Amino acid sequence: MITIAIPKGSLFKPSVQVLEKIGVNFQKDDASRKLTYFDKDGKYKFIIVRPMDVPVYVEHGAADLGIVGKDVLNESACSIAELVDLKFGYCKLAIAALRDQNFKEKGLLPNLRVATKFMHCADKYFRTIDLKVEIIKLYGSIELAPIVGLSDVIVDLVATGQTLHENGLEIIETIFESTARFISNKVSFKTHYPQIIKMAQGLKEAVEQEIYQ
Amino acid sequence: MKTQTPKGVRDLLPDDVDSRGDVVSTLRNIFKANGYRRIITPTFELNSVLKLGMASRLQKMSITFPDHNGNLMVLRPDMTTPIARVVGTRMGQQPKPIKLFYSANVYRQQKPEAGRELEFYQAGVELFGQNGVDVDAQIIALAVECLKAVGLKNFLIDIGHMGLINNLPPSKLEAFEKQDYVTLGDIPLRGTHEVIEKFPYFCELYEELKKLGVEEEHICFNLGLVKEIGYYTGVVFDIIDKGVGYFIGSGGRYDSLVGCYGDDCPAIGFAFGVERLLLSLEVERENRS
Repeated sequence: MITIAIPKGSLFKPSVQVLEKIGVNFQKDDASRKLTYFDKDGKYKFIIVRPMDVPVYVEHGAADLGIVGKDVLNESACSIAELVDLKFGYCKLAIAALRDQNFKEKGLLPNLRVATKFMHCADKYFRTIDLKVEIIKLYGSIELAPIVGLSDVIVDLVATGQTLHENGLEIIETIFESTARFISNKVSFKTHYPQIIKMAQGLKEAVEQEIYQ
Repeated sequence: MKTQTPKGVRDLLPDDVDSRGDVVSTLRNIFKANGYRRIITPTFELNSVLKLGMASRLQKMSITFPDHNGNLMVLRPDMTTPIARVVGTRMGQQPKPIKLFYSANVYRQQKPEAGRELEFYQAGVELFGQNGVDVDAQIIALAVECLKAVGLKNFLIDIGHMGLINNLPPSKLEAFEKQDYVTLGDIPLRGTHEVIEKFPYFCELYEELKKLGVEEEHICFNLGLVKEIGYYTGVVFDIIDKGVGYFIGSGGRYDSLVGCYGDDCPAIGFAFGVERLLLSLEVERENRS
């Protein structure tokens, strides 16, 4: 049996849909609070976990496969095999600041205070551009930080830009773009190779069909 | 009063020692029967010396500390590097091949994983002074013999080659090593017959392994396998077991490592992570009952 980790939240529905396209049928009883499910042939087991936890389950082999955003992969720095770009769940990790601060013109200066949920990615990026900053970890509503003076800029995920706009923020720089990925435990990838490679090819085709339709 | 051991190390009580001891003595007996002799090197060495042959990834993981004179010391992060140092500096004139085995603790600063903490136990062999596909096959066959002798059934030797990445641009190299096949653009082929025909060395190795009686069910060729530890130059392999999500051992050819310490000399070897070997045995036993 193959165990697949599915993320809760916005990626849940498209993940289930794309798996259905390759004949992996996930049956969730909506009222249920169960965290594990089986398909009707008993070939797959599904576990439903927080997106941030997907690569952790997969890295340790508690799940063989998983679906998760590239943003989460970059932040967790887990050692897994990344097999297919599923193309849904687009967003980007960006540096943003209040529009009236004019960071776009004056550029990013040393000793900025940066509020973010993405500590690892932020730290890595500012090291790459060799800018000394002070990073403050937050768990949500990152947009609030510059408004109340907690930080100068934020590093956060942006999907449409609507939330930023409504809060008077603008994007200064994009760090990376992200979409959902089909990932595998590195050893499971070897031990279940024929089955996993078939799934990966199926998903790749399903994704391409979707795009060119 | 707080009385715990630090993170990353643990006590082994007599029962733990017994179960580890059985596996280790089985391995040692096989190594000896194949003409390997045990070598012991110091637990820590001068960092400036050991790092001559240490790949940057190993250097990053190694644990260093100053001694009372302020010299930087390093706890050995593997056994291959110190043994290459000994061969390069003290055994260069000896008739080849030189066949050595070890079983010892090694130390790496890394995220704790199943069966791999800061201090973990490795047992393995190194063969110096011989190259050629027949020698590579002998080493892989020896690993298979060991795995069978300790009682594992569902193991697999996943075989790759550093030559597979010779022509890759640096941008793809990192993706290849990290198994980021989205960036690489393709998932490398893996299997037996359909793979060996694409890489002549694999063909020869397959024939040699067959001659040595290694069953097909225990080997797999992988066009996507290279090792992140930087000293490998030829064949590389991971030893995996279907029961656990981690490699239980690995090995490969490293023909330019000894040259970091003395006269160049071809070399190949492998190591088992003994804790992981024990975990796999436990999982297989549970699955059978």
